[in-house]
Amino acid sequence: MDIITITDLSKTFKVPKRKEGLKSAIQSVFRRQYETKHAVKNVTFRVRSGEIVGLLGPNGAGKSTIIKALTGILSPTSGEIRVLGFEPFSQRKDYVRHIGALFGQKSQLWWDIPPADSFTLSQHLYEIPKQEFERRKNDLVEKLGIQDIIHKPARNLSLGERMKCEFVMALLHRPKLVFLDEPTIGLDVFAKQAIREFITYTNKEYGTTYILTTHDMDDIEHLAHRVIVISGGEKVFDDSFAALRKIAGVTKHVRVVTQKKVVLPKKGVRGVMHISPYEAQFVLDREILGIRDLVKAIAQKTEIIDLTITDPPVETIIAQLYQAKA
Amino acid sequence: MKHWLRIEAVCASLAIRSRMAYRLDFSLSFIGMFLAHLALPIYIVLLYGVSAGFGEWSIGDMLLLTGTIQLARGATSMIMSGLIWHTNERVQQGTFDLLLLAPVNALGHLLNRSIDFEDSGLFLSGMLVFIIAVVISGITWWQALLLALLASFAIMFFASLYILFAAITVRYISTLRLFEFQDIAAQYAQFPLHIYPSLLATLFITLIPLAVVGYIPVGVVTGHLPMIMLGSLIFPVLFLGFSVWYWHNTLTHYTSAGG
Repeated sequence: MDIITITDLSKTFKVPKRKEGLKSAIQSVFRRQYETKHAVKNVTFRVRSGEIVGLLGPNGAGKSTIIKALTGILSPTSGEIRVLGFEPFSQRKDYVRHIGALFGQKSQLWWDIPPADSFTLSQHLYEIPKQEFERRKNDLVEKLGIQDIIHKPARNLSLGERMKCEFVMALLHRPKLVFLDEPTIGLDVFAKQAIREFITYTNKEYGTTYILTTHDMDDIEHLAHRVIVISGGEKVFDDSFAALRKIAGVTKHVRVVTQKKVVLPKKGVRGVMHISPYEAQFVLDREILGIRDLVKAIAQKTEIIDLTITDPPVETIIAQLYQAKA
Repeated sequence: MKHWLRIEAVCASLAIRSRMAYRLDFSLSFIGMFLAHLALPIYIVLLYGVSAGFGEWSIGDMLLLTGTIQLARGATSMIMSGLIWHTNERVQQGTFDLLLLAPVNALGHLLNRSIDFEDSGLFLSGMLVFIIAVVISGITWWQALLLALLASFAIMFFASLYILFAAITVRYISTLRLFEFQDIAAQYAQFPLHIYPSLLATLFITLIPLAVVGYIPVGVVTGHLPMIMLGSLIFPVLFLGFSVWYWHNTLTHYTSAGG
């Protein structure tokens, strides 16, 4: 069953513009010039109940604008949005009762008091009966392993701990649909892992549908049943991660520092740049050579001192998508 | 309304817990606010000691005027003074979005989140001056009660200003100085209307209804003004209606911070 239907969604903003310099700044006080920015252009897609859909795209692509239109924060300039039977912007007050949202860089917690106190606000906002609230809170807190930290002021928590508390805050009212905007941004590997496991758990246990925007390909790979790639406000891809991998390839950017002169395997490695005899950067094609085999091959020749593996920038993936389309 | 009041109570409790994290700052703000707002009544007492004052208006009437305005401002400020800076901060940082995700009226919830108890210093100083003024002016306690009820129109006026300024902040961002206009309005309202030129006095009854904040209620209760003047109390009601409409209209133009 489709719970989200977006048809030809467009959103434009009137953005002030002026030339650099003092004269232009003073002129803008009296006569301001504007330009129209098309943040989202004719985007259409549907989401089924229980799906985890990843919205992928570079900065300024329009991902967050789509999320904000879906959550009822922004009114669409044109097009139609139906979510859970509601028109989000005009029916915002009734609609938001059924959704949850978490913005990675914006906190819902009260800064100077413990998250446990902030949770009580959610209880009253969503009118959750006391016993039910306690049961849900304990369940979520236990699942995220944050029993010890919810009684410390939010300002004293690490980013990862705070993010886990944000998840409790966003899910206490058992929303059917949750929007996550960069939920793992700035988190370490362990915190990311815990968050991903938690999302998978709630998706399976409660059937919660998730829409997440991210820059992190690992998030998409581990979580998303489907990927929608947004570029320049337009939808350029809508399919499974496996299909994206087929088009965009499965590459990783690798940087290695070794004890003696670095010797790289010939297969699966391209774009090699030697920073020094002991340090190199290159692109690894995982379809040809896995990470474990790469490490093994390098370590056979010399000791590895440092190894950094990152995803290719989203811009690269999009460039590959456009190439494939052409 | 019941739901809003329950949330207001929770937010008030959270605000107190939050403010107690910085106890000294809270105490200093409270004391400072209390003492600062006693300055004007003291100045009036001194003025009447060395001059004829404001014509027919006795020192008791003047203190009643000051006390009524401060009481109304204090009551409004406790709930609403955080509205402008809170809105400004949220719009700039993009956290205004989170407010729109709560299943309640956005303005109502913003009021919930803007509660600030350090302004209780202003309310208490207003209460003190009001009680002293009732005793000095010689009005009955029934008249005092009526005056306190009429002060609700002053609360309506100040609330309208806060809502209007918060809406302007959402539209134009970084307009914190608007807060000072509320101070300026209160300062002009502190004096009987007959000291102003007639054009300004008319303006203060109609378009910028400052007179309803204190002058008209106190003037009617003390017998300086005819009862018919209470008709002008319609202006703060209209002003509040306009402010709330402007707020809702503003939300349809909200663009949210990037990211």
